[in-house]
Amino acid sequence: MSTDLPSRSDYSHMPADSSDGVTFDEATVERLLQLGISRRRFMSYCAGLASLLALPQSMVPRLAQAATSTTLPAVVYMSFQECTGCLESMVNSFAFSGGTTIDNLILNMISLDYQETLMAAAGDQAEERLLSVTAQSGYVLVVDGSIPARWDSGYFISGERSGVARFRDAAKNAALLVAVGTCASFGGLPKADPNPTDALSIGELMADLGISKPLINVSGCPPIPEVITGVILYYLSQGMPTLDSLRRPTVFYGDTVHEDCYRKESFEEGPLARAFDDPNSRKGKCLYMLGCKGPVTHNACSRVRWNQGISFPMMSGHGCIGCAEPDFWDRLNRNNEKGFYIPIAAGSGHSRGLPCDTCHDDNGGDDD
Amino acid sequence: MAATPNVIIDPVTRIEGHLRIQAHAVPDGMGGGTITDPGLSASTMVRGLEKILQGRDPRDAWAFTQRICGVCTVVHGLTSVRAVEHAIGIKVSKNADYIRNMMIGAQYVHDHVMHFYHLHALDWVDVVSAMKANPTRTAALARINNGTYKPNNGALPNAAYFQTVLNKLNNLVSRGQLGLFANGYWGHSAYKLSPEENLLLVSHYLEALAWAREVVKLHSVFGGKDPHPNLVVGGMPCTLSSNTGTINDDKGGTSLNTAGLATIKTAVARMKAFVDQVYLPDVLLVAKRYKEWADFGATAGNFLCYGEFPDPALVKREFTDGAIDYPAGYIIPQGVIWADAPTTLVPFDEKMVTENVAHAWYLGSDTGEHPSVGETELYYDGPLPDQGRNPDGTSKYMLDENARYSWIKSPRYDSQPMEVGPLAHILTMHARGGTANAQPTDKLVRGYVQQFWINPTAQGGLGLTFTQLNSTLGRIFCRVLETKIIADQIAGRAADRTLGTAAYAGWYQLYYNNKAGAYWNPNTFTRLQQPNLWPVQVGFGFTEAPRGALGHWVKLNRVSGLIDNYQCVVASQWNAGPRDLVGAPGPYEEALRGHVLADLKQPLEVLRTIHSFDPCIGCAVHIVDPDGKPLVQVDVNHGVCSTTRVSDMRCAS
Amino acid sequence: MTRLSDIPVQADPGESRGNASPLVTAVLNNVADTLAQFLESRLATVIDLRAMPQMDAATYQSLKNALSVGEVSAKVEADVTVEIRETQYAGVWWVTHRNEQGGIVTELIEITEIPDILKAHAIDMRAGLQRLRQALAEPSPV
Repeated sequence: MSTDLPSRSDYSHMPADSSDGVTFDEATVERLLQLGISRRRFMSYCAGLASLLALPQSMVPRLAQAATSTTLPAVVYMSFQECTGCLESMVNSFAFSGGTTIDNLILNMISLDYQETLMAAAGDQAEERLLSVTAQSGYVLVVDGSIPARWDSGYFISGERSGVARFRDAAKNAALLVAVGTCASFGGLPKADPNPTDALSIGELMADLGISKPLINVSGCPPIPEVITGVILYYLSQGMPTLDSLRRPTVFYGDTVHEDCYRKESFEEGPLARAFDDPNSRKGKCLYMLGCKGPVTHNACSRVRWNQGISFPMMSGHGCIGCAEPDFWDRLNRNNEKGFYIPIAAGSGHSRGLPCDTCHDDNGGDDD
Repeated sequence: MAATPNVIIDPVTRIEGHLRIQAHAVPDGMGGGTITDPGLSASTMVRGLEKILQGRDPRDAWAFTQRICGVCTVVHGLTSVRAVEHAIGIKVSKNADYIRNMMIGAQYVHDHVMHFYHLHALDWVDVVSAMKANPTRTAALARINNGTYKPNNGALPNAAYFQTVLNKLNNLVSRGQLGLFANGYWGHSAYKLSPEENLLLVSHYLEALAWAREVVKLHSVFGGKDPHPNLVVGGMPCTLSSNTGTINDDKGGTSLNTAGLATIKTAVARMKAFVDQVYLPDVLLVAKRYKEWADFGATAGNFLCYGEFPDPALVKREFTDGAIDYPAGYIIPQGVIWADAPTTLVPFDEKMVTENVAHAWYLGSDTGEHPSVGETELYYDGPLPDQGRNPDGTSKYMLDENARYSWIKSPRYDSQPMEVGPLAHILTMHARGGTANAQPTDKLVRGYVQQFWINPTAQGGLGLTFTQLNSTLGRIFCRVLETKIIADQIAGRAADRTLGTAAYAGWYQLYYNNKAGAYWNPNTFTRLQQPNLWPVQVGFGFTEAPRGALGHWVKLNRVSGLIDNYQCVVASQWNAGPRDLVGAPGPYEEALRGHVLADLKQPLEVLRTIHSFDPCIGCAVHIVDPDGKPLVQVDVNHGVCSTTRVSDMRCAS
Repeated sequence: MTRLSDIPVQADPGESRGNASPLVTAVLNNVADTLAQFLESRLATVIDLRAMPQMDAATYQSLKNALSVGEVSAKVEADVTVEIRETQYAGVWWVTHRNEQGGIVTELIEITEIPDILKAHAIDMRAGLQRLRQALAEPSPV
């Protein structure tokens, strides 16, 4: 649930909206027919997408329009110091929830004009492609991976150009920048202590280069597939989403994963899982003592879930490692120790639903 | 420098990571030419992960090493977990071994299918030609080639189905937005499939996207998400749910409930079906049209495997480590094959591994010694980027084979460059199949190689020789073959009377029967605080990854319990590494020798061979033991090597 | 599993609202207002249940019970399934969108004569007509 929505006790604003229903315009229906996509199937898809994006259902026709427009919005996707995990994740989202006829975002909803892992062109032909698509204006530039600060370090060179130069040139005519993944959003793994290659996040590099353009950070290692494509579709149909102080869309990053986690009940009331595979862990009790970073991690894992809603880390028995937060690799926990199995320090993130420092050295129980 | 390179691919696309290829072709006067010398393979991105791992909690290392590569995420994580378990002497439960087998196996199937369709197919399939296809004839071809395959919409594909695919392509063209298909080498004379064959393959390219999404659900049930599913030292973090998770019993529990187990079962069945009905017949169809590619792309002919997939039937007790304690039943054996005896499996001896940075951008150990000796630091002295082009259009940025030219080091075994990966897997299985220790899967491999590769065309084979497996086409063939073997291992298979193999229930069923058992060793975290119980000084973990031999070494501090040193030796490093001290080229480089290019400006032929290795460059580049201190000696009980010393077996990192 | 949208659908028309939560009352009031609005202006309304702040299982169930089931139920089957059910109040529809696995993607309360997803579209009808005419023109129409 989005934080934009009224709190539990405030019902003055109901999420109902009036319109002429969700009727598609003729052009949209015509396009769907051409593409061999069932109109009703597509309406259902858009209803789900709107719900996911916390958009009023009256926006469904606009989403549908954006997703079937004859001239598809151009997306240029560039990779720097990354592991391809973000792209793998995005590939898993080509449909909102499985599905076959809307099998490919890449063919039907956006024109993915440059993406090194998937594109047919290579070498000079790929470089020509990059130059020609970035010579136009108005494209969305998606970036994954951090970028080494120094152009002459040799730590990143592609197409005979440094990461800094490649990024600067590609950003020049972009309408929007989307940093996908925690490396691009916050520096991520390459920036983890001691940051051997002077890796920068996209935001930091933009500041260095004096580029001021709209930037959305879609953090996560990797981000949830539907969140990546959801953010792009949101922008295309509605414009800029509301962002938090770290430039993440609040619709996905407004809550902690703890807030929507079904194990939360026992965080408050106990008992807690004490070891992997203990009886409490089989019952789905809270993984706080096993180091779960859910209470201090803003993401939609427990709400949207992963891979078409199959599971999410805590459901599969492992605590959250905090991968959507800046510098999560170096996060200090109880006793100032780093580590994914060290419980978070009591009191940290208190305002986000964590109990005070008298809690959770025992068997749970939220007594603040 | 040798002759100036006139064939340059930078960036090499449709791979993981960042790679530049240079080669010199002797021009034929008609725009084409022949590459007579080895090429040059250079990785141009580095992150420095091993340095980041120093001083960390060893329980966390898997999460760091997973991020070496988001494509190989499961194997890097598990290699790390195995290394730490080895370092502290923790054994894992049967279920953990079953699940690890399934997760690694699912990664093989997922990666190999996606490699063929999404990374490699466009080297063989002309999308523009597909647009000329007749949908009715394509449907007829599908019935012959893919028989019972029902695409993801659940119906047998008819002309209307292929018309829809055509419409999608036409839409791209009509609005002038070719997206990912723009600027391909379309119409290149080396494309040989008929329009209908091209359209069939394009339709499977699209189907495979939807399919891939389904099979990774196995990872997300066990690991909570994919890519980068969660793992844990000491077993698996997932555990059987206390409830069924069905609609009237949905409170609490875990993902391993009735619904989750059904999801896994479905994913397993889909893997097997797609491999049998689509991937295997499609590869054979492509191979039939491109048989001459069995004559290009050979490496020196030396192959290396660490081995993988312990046979769960051998894992008789709880809390053993199947991967190390039961090497005899590995599906992919551990061993070495030398060029002069391609059917003989030689035991692997870790003492013979060295690494070499003579041509890599690191300081130190360029004498080909163990990397534990000497210093290794990032040291870029290559050409500067961003210098533009010379007036004649040639590049100012040129890598020199006599200098340092890559972020990948050159691992060597007994001083020789070794190829790793699917070709090595099939050859080692084939070789073991001729010994007294032949496994049922070895017999199947020998049978399939005979049936599909060697048998004359009249009998439905390709009519190629065993030796020709060492080729671009052979690599593609071996990849699909091992995918079939592994998909059947997970899903189960019927008896094969001709080949004399019994029916096999499959790993999923074996796990399912045992699912109430343990998932995690409760001694794990306390053992980290008991260095007196640690059996070795340096832990060693390996997996045989989809792209080949993968090993991690971890040295823990006996006071703090934190990581003192961490090294990885990775599959693509073996294949993609640069020349060594004596100038011997790496496998990618060697494989380019002899290629005949129709058009030097469109080096499709080079791309075919490089892609046949399935480059994973993010994996290949990482570093290093920056303090360069020698590792302490340690006994490692690992596979066929009874006792080796890590200080000796330390290899490239 | 514990998502509100996955809660079993088990309408019990007999049960009175009794001690319905304030949220249920608020939603029902909202439904009443928009129904009145529809009668006046023909403006359709959609209430997205997933966008409800922290609706727990009991509240969800009591809302479902309160609306109960009416005379019409329909199902769209197009890879995914959409279940459309009129509630006991004519023109108030409970619409459940499910994915291929049967999991709930979203649930809506629509206030309108007929939910749009049920209506056929003129363009689709024209295409259907064309196909039908083609089939009739074949030498041996089925």
